[in-house]
Amino acid sequence: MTGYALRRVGQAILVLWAAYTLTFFAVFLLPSDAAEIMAAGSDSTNSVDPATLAEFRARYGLDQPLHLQYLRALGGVFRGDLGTSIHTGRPVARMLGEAIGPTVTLAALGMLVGVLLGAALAVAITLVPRRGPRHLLATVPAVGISVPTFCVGLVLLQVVSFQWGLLPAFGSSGFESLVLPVLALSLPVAALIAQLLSKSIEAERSAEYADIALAKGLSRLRVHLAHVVRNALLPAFTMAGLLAGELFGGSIVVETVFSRAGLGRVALSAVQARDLPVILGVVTVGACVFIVVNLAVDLLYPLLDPRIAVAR
Amino acid sequence: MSTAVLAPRRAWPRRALRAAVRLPGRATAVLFMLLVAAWAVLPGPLATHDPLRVVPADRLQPPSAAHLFGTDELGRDLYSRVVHGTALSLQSTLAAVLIGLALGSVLGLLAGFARGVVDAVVMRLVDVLLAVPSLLLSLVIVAALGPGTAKIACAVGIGSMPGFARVVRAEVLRVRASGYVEAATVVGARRFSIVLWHVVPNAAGPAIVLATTTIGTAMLAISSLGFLGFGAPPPAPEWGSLIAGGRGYLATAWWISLLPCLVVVLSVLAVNHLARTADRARVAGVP
Repeated sequence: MTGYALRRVGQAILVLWAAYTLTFFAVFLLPSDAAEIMAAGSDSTNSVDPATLAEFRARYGLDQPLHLQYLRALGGVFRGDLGTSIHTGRPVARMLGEAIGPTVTLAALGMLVGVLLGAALAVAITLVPRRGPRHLLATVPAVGISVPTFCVGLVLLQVVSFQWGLLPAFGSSGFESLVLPVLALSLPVAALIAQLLSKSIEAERSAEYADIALAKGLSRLRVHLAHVVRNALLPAFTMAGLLAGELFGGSIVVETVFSRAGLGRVALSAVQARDLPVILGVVTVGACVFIVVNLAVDLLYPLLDPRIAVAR
Repeated sequence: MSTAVLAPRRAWPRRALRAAVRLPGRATAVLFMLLVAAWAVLPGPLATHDPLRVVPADRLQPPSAAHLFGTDELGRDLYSRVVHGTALSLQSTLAAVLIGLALGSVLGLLAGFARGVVDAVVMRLVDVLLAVPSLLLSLVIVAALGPGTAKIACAVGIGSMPGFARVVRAEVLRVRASGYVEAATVVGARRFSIVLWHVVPNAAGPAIVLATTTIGTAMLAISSLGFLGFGAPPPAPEWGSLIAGGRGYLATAWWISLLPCLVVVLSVLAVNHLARTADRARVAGVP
């Protein structure tokens, strides 16, 4: 078990390093000249005069060969230094540190609510005995995965905040301002979880242990909830880990819809101003979150499903 | 007797109608996609107004017979703007899927056929791409290339590449192990022609099914990037930017954002429904 855990942690660190490297070279190689892009800023039409450009290059170390820039940046990452923002002139690590709190809160709550809603919906779908109503209910997740996050957010904003005047439309303070963003973020997640889980429940239902439990005289509801659903939850657990990345991206969109402070705002203004160090920092943090969540899922899996541990 | 045999062939409209009654969901999806395709191909005749004409007297009109989707803050007809934006949104969606399919297939073929070190390197690259949240990956590419519909399509296409690479590699490994590839090798066929004539046609099915299911997600991703403001520059209409443009008027003029939203949702729903149908038909063995 410890050997497995150590191997997984090592793999995770390797993937994180590779993700950082890949993004670094994507950011600094794709355009013809990173310095020119950043010096021109959001206004990409105006040209920068050569003297300013040279001064800019020297200031940010962009006059050095790319591999030296990369090694310096990577060395900085190990010391917790993600470089300096071109646009604001502040350390990237501090900018992200300030913004990450609200985003992680939003994403974590979105995941929690999404998983609970999705599981409840899946159990409800599979509990409906008649074919017609069950099929009707099963279309709910199919519709849910077709609705973009920002649409859910805009509809909630229009109906709940503007029509009914119930919850605050904008702002990022207090519990009340979190309700609508969390709902907007969690509904597409819930739809995905419900779709996977209801399929998984249907598959488990025909397993022999379910028949045996029924033959022992347990009630159908008891067999369904205590045996079938419990086993069917395992794939949904893996799925939830994989959705962490989507949630991270989704919270950027939701933060824009509800004008909330957070990583989304930092990321978007960085893309608009073409502030490459900040973008690199945001992607590193996003990949880090995804890798850590999935590492946790992998490490918890043997505890939830003893068969995995035996197989290894 | 002979009429009974001939009847189904003559009455194909009736047959289509009967199928539509039997499968209302599929029929609605097909009809809606036909409408959207018509908007993309013939925006001129189908739009009711000039999408760029500003009429200050008509600003912020709710939906009515004169303006099907209402008007925006400058008095432009929203329905015409949605119709004229269809081509851009649809083109970038299809371009994104094709880019993802092409790049992913090349990587998958390479990994599956070369195996060894090349396989390991390509598949680790795919793992790393999967570890970066897809929206963030798109934002990196948009930041490097700049905004615009073609660049958004590139960004989303590269984001969907890992999935294609995995599927194609798995198929190549399956096809490689089959008897006819072995036979072709024994006969002395060159590796390149084996890939071209045996592996590609037999591995294409699952990749194409994945492509149809990717259309829906690509549509969502492209409208999200458009909504965040990285799509077509302001005067040109495009679904995502239309939705973003109405955000400021959500409280008083909900139709500016929510009706284009509805069009996006219905399109994605229709595409997903048809993709699922195609997938089921393939699994069931129906061509």
